[in-house]
Amino acid sequence: MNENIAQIRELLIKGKMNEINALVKEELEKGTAAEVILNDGLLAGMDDIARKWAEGTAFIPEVLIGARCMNMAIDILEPHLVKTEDSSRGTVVMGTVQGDLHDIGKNLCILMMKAKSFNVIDLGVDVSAEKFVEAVKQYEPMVLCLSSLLTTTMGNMKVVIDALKEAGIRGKVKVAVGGAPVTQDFADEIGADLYTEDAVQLADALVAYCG
Amino acid sequence: MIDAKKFPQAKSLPLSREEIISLIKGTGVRRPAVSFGNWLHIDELGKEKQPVLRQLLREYPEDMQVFYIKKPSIFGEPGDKYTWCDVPGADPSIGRVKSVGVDEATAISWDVFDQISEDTPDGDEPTMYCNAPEEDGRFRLAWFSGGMWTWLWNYRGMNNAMMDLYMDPEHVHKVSRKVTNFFKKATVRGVKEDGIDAIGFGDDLGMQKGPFMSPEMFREFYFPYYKELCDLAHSLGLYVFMHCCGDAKLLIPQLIEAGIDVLHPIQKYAMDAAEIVSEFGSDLAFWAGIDLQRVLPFGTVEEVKKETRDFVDIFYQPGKGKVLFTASNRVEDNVPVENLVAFVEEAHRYGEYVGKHDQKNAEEGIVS
Repeated sequence: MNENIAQIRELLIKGKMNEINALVKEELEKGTAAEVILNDGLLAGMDDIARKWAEGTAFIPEVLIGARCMNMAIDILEPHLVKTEDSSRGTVVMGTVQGDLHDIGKNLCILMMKAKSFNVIDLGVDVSAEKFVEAVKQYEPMVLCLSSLLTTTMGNMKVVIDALKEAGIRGKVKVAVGGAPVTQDFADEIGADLYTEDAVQLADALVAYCG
Repeated sequence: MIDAKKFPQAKSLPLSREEIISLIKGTGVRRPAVSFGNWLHIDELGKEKQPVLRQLLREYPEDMQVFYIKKPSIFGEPGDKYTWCDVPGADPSIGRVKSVGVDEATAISWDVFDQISEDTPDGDEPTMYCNAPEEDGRFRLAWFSGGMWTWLWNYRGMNNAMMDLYMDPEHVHKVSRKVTNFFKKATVRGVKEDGIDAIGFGDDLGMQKGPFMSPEMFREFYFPYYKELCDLAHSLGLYVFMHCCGDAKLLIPQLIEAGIDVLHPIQKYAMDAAEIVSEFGSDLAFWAGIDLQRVLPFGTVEEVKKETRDFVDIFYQPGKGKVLFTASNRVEDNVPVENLVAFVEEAHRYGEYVGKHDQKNAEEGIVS
C-alpha cells in the first residue's frame, strides 16, 4: 500500500477532513484507481474505527467524524469510480419502531453496515408497522433491522413481525432486532431471526449472512 | 430533626438531614435511605396507581425532599430572559417534549446560538425556587435537570453534538460556560433562599456499553466545568448529586476528581454494580436505581423483592451507608404499581434489618 493511502486510513479516526481530501486528490492525480483509494484507504480506515469502537478504545464521536470524512472523500472519488450495476452486498431496511424517537443506535448500525458496502434504506424513527411492511414490499431487502431503546416500545417489534406475517411476506425477509433493553431471549420470544449487542456485531453478522 | 407529628401514617420515619449527610460521608447510618425523588412523577402515571402510590409515600415517606428548580423555557416570549433561546424565529423544534435529542435537520446552527443573550437563562429569575417544599428536617436536594453535555445535544442534536466535539470545540465550550454560569447562580440562591443541602443535575455520558466520548474528550470539554460547579457547591457546604445513564465507568474517576459526591443510578446491565462499589465506593456515595429495563416493568413481585435485597447487599457499605435507593430513571406507566410497592416496602424492611445487624456488629466490635 502506498504511503498516502496508509495515511488516509490513519487520518480518518482523527477527523482530519481537509488533509484526507487533499491526499485523495493527490492520489487521483497520480493515477491511482479510485477503487483502491476507497477500499484500502477509506473503507479500511472505517473498519479500523469500528474495531476500536468494539474494543472500547474509540467512541461515537470518532465513528461519526470518520464517517463524515469518508463521505466527503467519496464525493471526490465518485466521478472516478467505475460504475457497476450493483456493487453492494445487499439491501437492508432499518428503522426505530413506533413510539420511539431514539436514533443514535440506529444511525451507528447504518454507518457500520454502509461501511461494509450494504445498501441501507433508513426509515427514520417512530416508524409504524405499516410503513415497515410497505418498505419491505417496495425495496425487497434481505434484512429488516428494528431498533428500540425503550422498554415501553420494544413490544412494537413484535407488532412489526406480526404485520409482516399478516401481509404474507415474513418468509421473504430476515428480521434483526437490537437496542439497549433488547436481549437474545426477547428476540427469540418475538420470533426475530437475529439479535446482536451492538452495531459492529450487526454488520459482521450480516456479512456472514449475505457473504 | 424529624418531627414525627408531620408523618402521622409513617411506618418508618424518614432519615433526618444529618443522617443523610452522615450516609453520604460514610460515617454510618441506621439504615440505607429510600427516596424516589425526581424519578417518580405520580401525577403522570395511570389514575388507578396514583392513590396507591400516595398512600405508599405516606407510610414510607421519602428520605429526601427532592425538587426541581423552575425550568427555564426552551424558547422565550418577547422579553423573557428565563429561557435557553431568546432568538426570535429560531427553529422551534429544539427541545421537543417528546424527543430525545434532535436530528441534524432541525438543530439550531451555531449562528443562531451566537445570537442568544449571554446572560440567559436569567439566574436572577425571582420564581426560580417556587417548587421548594416547606422545610421539615429532611435533606433538601434541588434538581437542575440537564447539564453541560445535555445542553450541547439539546441545542445541536446528538449527531451534530458528537461531531462538534471535533469540529467546533470553541462553541462546545461556550455551551458549557452558559450552563455552568446558570447553575452557579442557582446554587448560590438555593443556599440563601431555600436552605438546600445539595444540588443535582443529569448528563447521560454512558451508553449501554461504554461512554459516549473518550476520557480525553471528557477531560477537555466537561471536567473543568463540573469541577468549577462542584468547587462552588462544596465551598457553600453543599453536596453534588449527578445522574448519568448507561456505562460511564471509564469516566467515573474524573467525576470523583471533579467533586461529584453522589452518583445515580449505576445502571444494571450497563455497569456491574458490585465492581463499581468495590472500585469507587470509598470515594462516592450512590443514589442507586433499581433496574427499569427488566425487573421493575416485567418482573413479578417476588422477583422485585429479591432484586431489592440483592441491591441492598451490593450497595450498603457496613459501618458507612453510602447509599440511597430509587429507580434507575423516570418510572414509566408500564411498571405495575405492585412492583413499586414491593420495592419500597422491601428496601425499608430489608434495609432496616441490615442496618440493625450492622449496628449490632459495631457495638460488639465485629467487622463485617
